[in-house]
Amino acid sequence: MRSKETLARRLIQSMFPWFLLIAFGLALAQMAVQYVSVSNAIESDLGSLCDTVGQPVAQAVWELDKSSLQGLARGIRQNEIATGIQIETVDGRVLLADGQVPPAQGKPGSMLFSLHKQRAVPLYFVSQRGLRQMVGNLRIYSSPFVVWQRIRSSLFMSLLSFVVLAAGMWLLFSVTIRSRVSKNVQGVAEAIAGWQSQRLDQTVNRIEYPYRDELGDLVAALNENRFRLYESVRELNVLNRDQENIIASRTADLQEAKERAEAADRIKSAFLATMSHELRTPLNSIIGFTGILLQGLVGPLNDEQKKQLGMVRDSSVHLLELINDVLDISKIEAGQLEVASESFDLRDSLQKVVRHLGTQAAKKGLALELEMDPGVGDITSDRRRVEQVLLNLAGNAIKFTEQGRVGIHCLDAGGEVRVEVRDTGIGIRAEDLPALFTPFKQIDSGLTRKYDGTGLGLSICKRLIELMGGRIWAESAPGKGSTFIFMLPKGR
Amino acid sequence: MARSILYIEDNEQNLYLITFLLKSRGHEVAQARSGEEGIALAGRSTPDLILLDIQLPGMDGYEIARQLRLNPDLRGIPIVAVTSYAMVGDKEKALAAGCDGYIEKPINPETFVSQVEAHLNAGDVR
Repeated sequence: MRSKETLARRLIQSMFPWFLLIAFGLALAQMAVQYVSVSNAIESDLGSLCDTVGQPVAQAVWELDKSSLQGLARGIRQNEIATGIQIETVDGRVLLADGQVPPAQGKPGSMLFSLHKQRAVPLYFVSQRGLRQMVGNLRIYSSPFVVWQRIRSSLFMSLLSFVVLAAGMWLLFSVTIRSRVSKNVQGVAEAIAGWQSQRLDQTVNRIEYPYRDELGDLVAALNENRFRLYESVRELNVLNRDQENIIASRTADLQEAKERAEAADRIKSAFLATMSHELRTPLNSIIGFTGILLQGLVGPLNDEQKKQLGMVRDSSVHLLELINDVLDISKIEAGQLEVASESFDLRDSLQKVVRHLGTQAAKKGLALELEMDPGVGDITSDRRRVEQVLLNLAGNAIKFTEQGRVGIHCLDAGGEVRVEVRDTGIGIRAEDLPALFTPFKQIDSGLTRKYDGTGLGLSICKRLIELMGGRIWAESAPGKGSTFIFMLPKGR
Repeated sequence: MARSILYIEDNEQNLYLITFLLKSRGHEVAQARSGEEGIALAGRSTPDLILLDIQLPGMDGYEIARQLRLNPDLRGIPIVAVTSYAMVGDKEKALAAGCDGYIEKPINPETFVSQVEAHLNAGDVR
């Protein structure tokens, strides 16, 4: 922003009254000097007038010739400086008063006449024998108006000349200030305005100022600061660019890494789908044909053939479970596993699981018991996944129990159902409990790999239960059996 | 009650296995080894049920189901997908393509025929 007012104008404006005052002061001083000199001139004129007229007046007083006195007085008054005249006898008697005569000192109104000039001369009569005898006093007065008349014309002239002089000086001064100060300041201001239209990271011309004065210092400081600003902004820009480059390259790196990871994930998923399919196709044949043979659809089998074919079937079912588990865990890891939300009777699912595992338990001579609270009924969850968890927990219980029983207990817990799977098996050490639900951690029971399984079952159970909004944990002690408990919301 | 079933499948062993299982329960089985063959056969013979593998060379099972559903003569015939695809959404995809049922491979040889017959009976009701 540039201001409209110029420094010079402001300076000149502020100086103008002073110029006027000085002009008036000088005029007044001149007047005073003139006044004094005019006053003195008048006084001396009065003196010479007195001297001139003294002799004839004394003669008239001596002769007491009134008409002569009046004639003389008129004659004196002809002189413009004599505004009043008084002639007294020696004893103070006024013989004649003409014009403006101030009253005697101390009388009222005398103050009004204090500015009157007066000249008094004693009147001496000189006889023919040469004797001088004082006969009275002659007073001639001159009013201030006379002085004023004299100085009036010259006063106006001098006042006018001073005003003209002051105005001339002021003009000269302002022109000088304008050309010297204002021009320089304006030049600097324009240069700065030129800077402001430039970006801070552009080089600009230094402001040129040839004199070493305050403005020069200011300009030097401005130049210096502008240069420093330029350098700082340049450094900042470089820094910013570096930062931007770093950020851009890191973002690109991250993006690339993300894309690689996503591509790897896609490849993994596709690989798993393909593998799962490719493994299931031959497995379908193995399980299918074994089943056909075992069902006796082809012809009767002897016991050994049944036993061996049974082993083939069990192994292939186990292989299928492995494939399913691996597929499940990878779906969970990839966040691809979705749980359904359907209404179903939990009692049906529990009974189904017990039916399914009944033979397996019976083979080991274990009792498989199911207890359900009367309140247990329909829940809204993923039926297949709930059954998968139940099968896994109950299957584990049977697997790790050599004698005794396996109990499934389902309780109504308000908004949730609580399912407990209890066994009388080998139990789990307290320090092993936390690792129970992590993938590939079959607890080293001292009977390594006696129990087959992927070690994935429990971690899948945990993820599934959590996906369905529930939680799962285990309580156990070695030799005292284990209890696996999960809570599941009735509705989702 | 003997019914005619069309089975579209490219894997010889699976074809043999399921044909054997169905025949052992008295059903007639017509075999097709590709989508084109299956669609042509279905149009000619109008089976009581179609079993459909999903992963087939060329035209896949979803496409076959869609094509079959375009034929008004086959409108009432149940189509059951038999597949080893077990990824998320496979079942939904099969149903969306026009299948009525979905049986995962490997099949359970003891229950498979009953599963298929359940769809046959459902078709009767309809």
